[in-house]
Amino acid sequence: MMIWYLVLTESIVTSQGKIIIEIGKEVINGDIANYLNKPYHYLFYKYSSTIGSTIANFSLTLLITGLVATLLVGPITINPLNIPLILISCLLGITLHFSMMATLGIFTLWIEDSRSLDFLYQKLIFVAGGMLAPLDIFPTWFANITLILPFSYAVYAPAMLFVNFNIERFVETILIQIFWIIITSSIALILFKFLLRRVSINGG
Amino acid sequence: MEDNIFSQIKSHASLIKAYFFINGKTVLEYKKAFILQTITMFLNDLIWIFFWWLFFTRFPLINEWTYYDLLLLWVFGTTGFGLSGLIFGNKSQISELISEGKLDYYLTLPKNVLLHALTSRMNWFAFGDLLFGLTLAVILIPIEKLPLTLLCIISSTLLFVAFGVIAGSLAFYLGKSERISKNIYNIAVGFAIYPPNVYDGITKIILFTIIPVGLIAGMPVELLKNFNLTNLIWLIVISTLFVIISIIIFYKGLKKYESGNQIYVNA
Repeated sequence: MMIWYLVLTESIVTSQGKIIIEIGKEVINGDIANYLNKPYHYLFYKYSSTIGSTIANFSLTLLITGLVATLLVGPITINPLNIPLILISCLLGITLHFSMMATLGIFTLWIEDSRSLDFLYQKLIFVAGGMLAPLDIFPTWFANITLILPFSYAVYAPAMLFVNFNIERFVETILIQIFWIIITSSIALILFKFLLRRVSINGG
Repeated sequence: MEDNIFSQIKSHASLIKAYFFINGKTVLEYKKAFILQTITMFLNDLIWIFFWWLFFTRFPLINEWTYYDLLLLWVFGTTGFGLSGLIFGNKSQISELISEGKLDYYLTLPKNVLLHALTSRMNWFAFGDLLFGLTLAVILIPIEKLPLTLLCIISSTLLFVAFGVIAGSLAFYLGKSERISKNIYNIAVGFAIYPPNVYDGITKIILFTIIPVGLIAGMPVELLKNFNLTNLIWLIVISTLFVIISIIIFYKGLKKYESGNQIYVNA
């Protein structure tokens, strides 16, 4: 089960690319000004323009790592009726992952360095998000802390549904994922408003 | 003839020193970014060893390796990576230099092309890794093991550079291959900072011979724990051979190099 857990966590985390660095570069270079006179919101544009390739990357990674996992440890036993529900949770996890990265990307306006934020975020996702290992193997105090943070709902929660589906856990997971998406997106949108003021003040 | 070789070595050593100071001054011009990146890298490495601490809390031994052994692994991994990034900052950019025709600049100058290309850039983030590694070394390694530690750090540094050169030299044959080169290099780095005891059989043999990632940090840890002259000789011989192989691969590939006719400013 551990191998299949890692299949899904890797698929989710590696599907999105370097959103923090991408957004950070556009913020620092001022290229973001090109998007301000368009009839769409920059962050929603960023999400919709990257979600296609994200889903493609996710599917490809899942397929290839799934084949390798099958060869190594045999196929996973999964009820086909649960697959759409698991995919919904994966999509919400990917959205939450994007939302957190977008927030940090905008934060580069103040930090002025997106690579640093990207490095730190990656490590938080690896450890507190459960990408490297299921949070259950860690000490209880640490697992409890991660369960009140959003990182585990981007990666660990969907992966646990994948290896051990349970309808109650599914409902709980998607509700908490939606909650964290709302919170992190709101923070991103608020920060973006501050960003707009800075762009205007600098004569954009 | 010997004088010529010595004067060549002296002149290239001066080049490395000059680039180190120029790059260092450039880095210090952007103090805020430099400090932030150093702190970030330090925290990055701290989070890694925190993860391993959590892991070892649950599983105290990995094939007789303890958490202390893992920390020693990170001493050599981070210090070697840090030094290689500070002095040979272009080690992971070789494929970009080749595919974008930027080697032209180095080919027109009367210095060793590979050495010049490697040392002309400094990776700022590397300082955070170096600082982290040295901090761990000061805490963990007794002073009497300093000579052996320094030797192992030099070996780790050169092996990191050699891996970078080999991965980057793929661009001579594949063209635009930055992604593949970076992935291959990152795989090597990844293997280097995992306890080699998790591998056994043929995998372990490969990691200590043909693809000597195990020599970067794993072998130095074994030497510090249980010094063995055979292992030390093995480390020195294989590391030297691997560096020589990387140089040969680069220069063989250089014969296939074609200019990209790109105009760029090198300031």
